[in-house]
Amino acid sequence: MGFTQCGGLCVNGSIWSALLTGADYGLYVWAAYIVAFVVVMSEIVVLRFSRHSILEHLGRFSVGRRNSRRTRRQRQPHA
Amino acid sequence: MLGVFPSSLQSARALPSIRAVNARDCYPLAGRLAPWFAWTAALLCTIGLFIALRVVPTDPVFGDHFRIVFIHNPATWMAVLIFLGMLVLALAGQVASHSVASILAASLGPTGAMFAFLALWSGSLLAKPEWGTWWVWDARLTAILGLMLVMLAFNALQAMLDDPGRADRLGAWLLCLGVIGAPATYLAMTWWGGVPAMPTLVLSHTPGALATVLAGLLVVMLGLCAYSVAVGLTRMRIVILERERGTEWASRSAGDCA
Repeated sequence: MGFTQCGGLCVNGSIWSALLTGADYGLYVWAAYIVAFVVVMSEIVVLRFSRHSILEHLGRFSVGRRNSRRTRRQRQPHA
Repeated sequence: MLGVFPSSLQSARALPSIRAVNARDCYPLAGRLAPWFAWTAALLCTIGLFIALRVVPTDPVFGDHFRIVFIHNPATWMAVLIFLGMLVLALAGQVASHSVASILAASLGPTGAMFAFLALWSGSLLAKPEWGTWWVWDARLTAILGLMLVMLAFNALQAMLDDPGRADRLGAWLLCLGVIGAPATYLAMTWWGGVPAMPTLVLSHTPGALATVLAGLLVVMLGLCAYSVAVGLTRMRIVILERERGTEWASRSAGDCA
């Protein structure tokens, strides 16, 4: 495998070669680990969106949305 | 009727030390603790992954397929542990009128359901090659399925009801039903279900390798515990902001973390 020849970090036998070259652990093992990873990451992403949503509800916006039309309207409710 | 807990239990409302802790105090504390638990979880899960995939030798009988137990067993333990934790917290929230306990119970719900799903999913992947089937109405599997459904219903209640107090009360009752229902399901399936319990996967490692397997399971378990605490604390901050959004301090705190 080319990946195993990429230098000190990715030497054969490391966790990276096991993860990325699909060492012969079989489809079921990888399905279990990959789905677990995806599910955990999904929870973290949903948590992040929930946090953003409540902050938005409270009128606090992230940097990228400070100047949006909705934000400007909320800043000047009588305009 | 559903919203009434026995008055003898509610006598614990007089406990000043418990009631002194409020959401406003917990909000910054949770924010300070969550990153420590998150980094601990990342470290322990990485070590556990390394042990599971590289250090532990191949099982002489089950081959590499047994490595799924490093997902399956900790996920199952965490699902049960979180369910019991939610039950204790929800009851504490009702008995002692302690809002932070109810908020923490509500915060752990999605994580518990997620671990129950992972336990069922990895259990199916473990079962198919060993026993030739994805699913049987086995007592243990059905009990975990019941736990997952109870936790999903708990999360749905929290999401649907606008009144947090009512959602907490109904959620506490639901968890009480679940803690009765899960063992009852287990016993019923064992006694009358007609499906015998599936054989347990017994590892055939040497004692030294078995110690490595157990160490790996312990590390992953601790990592998932730290993950659950980190996610629970983070979600608790969100729930606190949602429930206290009318207050001035919540707006100010939201401004601090935006």
